[in-house]
Amino acid sequence: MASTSLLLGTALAGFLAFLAGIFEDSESNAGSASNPNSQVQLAPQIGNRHRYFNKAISGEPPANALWATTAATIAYLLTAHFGGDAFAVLIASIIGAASSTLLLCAYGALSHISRIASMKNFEQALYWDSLLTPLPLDAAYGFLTALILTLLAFAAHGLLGNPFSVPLIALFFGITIGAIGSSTGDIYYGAERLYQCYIFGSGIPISVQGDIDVKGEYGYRNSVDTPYFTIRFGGLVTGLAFGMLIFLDAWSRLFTFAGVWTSVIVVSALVLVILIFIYLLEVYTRKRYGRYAED
Amino acid sequence: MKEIQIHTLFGAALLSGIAGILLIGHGISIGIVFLWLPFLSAANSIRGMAMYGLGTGNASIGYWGTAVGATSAFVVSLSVSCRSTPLLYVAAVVAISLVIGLATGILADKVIRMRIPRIELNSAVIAMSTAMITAGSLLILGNDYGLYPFIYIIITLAVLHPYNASTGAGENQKRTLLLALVEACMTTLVIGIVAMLASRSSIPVSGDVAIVAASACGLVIAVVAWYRLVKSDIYEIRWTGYPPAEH
Repeated sequence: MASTSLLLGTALAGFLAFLAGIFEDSESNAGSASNPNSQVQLAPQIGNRHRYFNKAISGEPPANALWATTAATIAYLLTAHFGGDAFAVLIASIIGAASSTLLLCAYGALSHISRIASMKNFEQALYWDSLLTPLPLDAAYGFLTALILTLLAFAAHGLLGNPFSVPLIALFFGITIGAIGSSTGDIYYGAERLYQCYIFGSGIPISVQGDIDVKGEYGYRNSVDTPYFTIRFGGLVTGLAFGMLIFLDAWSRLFTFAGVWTSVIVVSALVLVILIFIYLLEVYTRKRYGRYAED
Repeated sequence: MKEIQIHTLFGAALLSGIAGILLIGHGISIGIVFLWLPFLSAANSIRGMAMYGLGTGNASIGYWGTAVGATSAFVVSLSVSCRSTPLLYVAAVVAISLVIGLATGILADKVIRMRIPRIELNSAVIAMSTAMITAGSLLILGNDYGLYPFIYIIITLAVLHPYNASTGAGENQKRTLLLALVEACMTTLVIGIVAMLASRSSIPVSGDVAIVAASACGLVIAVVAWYRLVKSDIYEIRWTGYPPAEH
């Protein structure tokens, strides 16, 4: 019989991971990070001068790893110093996440300005308001991501009994969520939202790269509009993917009713079920919709 | 404009890094300012490799190079006798990171066939530079293994980011290296703050305060110098407005 802390930890971890996914995807979209970053970068070169916030920090995984690890490290040191009951962990995590958000703002602003300074040949101007308006929004999502990943790391360490230190778990979570955000969530922004002038789902052939939509519902599009749009689908899907990953992974600690190997069998069966489901889904989709037709 | 050669910058970074670690090893924490040059040297080598069309590979090279450097420093710091003698410590860090950095560079070139010019040299430079930074940070932050992920990832971002942030047709070495200096100061500032927390004393240790103060001064100077270059390089800076209509 699983103990209460394990049950609580599994439920809490899944819930927190779901929220973290939503916030992470919105954060990356507010700053056009990862794949959209290259598309926005290319735009001025083919005459599409824009007002997007282009936060080229690195790939999403290392950047999120930095925010989460910095927040978790500060929280870890604070709780080691002042004691670590649940309330102290929450306060320490908030202080840690706030500190890492300052780092995010610094890196974000430096990236945006530097990239535009290198776009002189293509006559792309730096508009301060197109940096300063989305930056607080980006920072807010970044803060929530770092905070929740830190809490998640504490939950994994304390409630689920993960043997690694809290900052190391946060590093893993940061890299994982960045990878999921850039593979799952970004498609919706980088390949669809930026290319609404092309047929939905047509992908981005090399010939159209950089030919992004620079105008929005009213006036020029800005990076505040982007998360408002992507949170309806991209953010939730990222949350679902990361949430399921953490929730189902926690089962490996829950189902140990007939020895440690039970959990291995349960999780292996789970992976098999997911693989079969994905295979059947792809076969169905290909049969139903056929190959992508050129024009 | 004539560019600074890899050898020149790395030579300076090596001497400066060794001086920095020796100072920190003898209890003078402010020696961390001598680690700024290794940051520049690593960022310059990442620029050297990523310039050959490695757009998204930029982050990977930063990851990889710092992983080699940081791992070498972590391994050396495991040996207590090595850690307590600064000269032996710095010699071991430099030697091990040189060997592993060169080996990974040669493997990438000969076995994986990445075909990036001077990959062996740049790989060794990144590994040695980041190893020196890691070794210095470890001396300041103490031997808490919980802090290793933080040390690794904050150095990774500081060295891979300058070129990634400046990429574009108008990129130049001077501005990229100044951005590297900005980020080096920012990183040592954060390391100083974390060192204050890690010291577990109720009043911040004077050495850690000195790190924070020196880094903050360096940061202000570097940002001003960098922004001056940005203003001379950029097409136009405006508070607000619409781009000229093209179509």
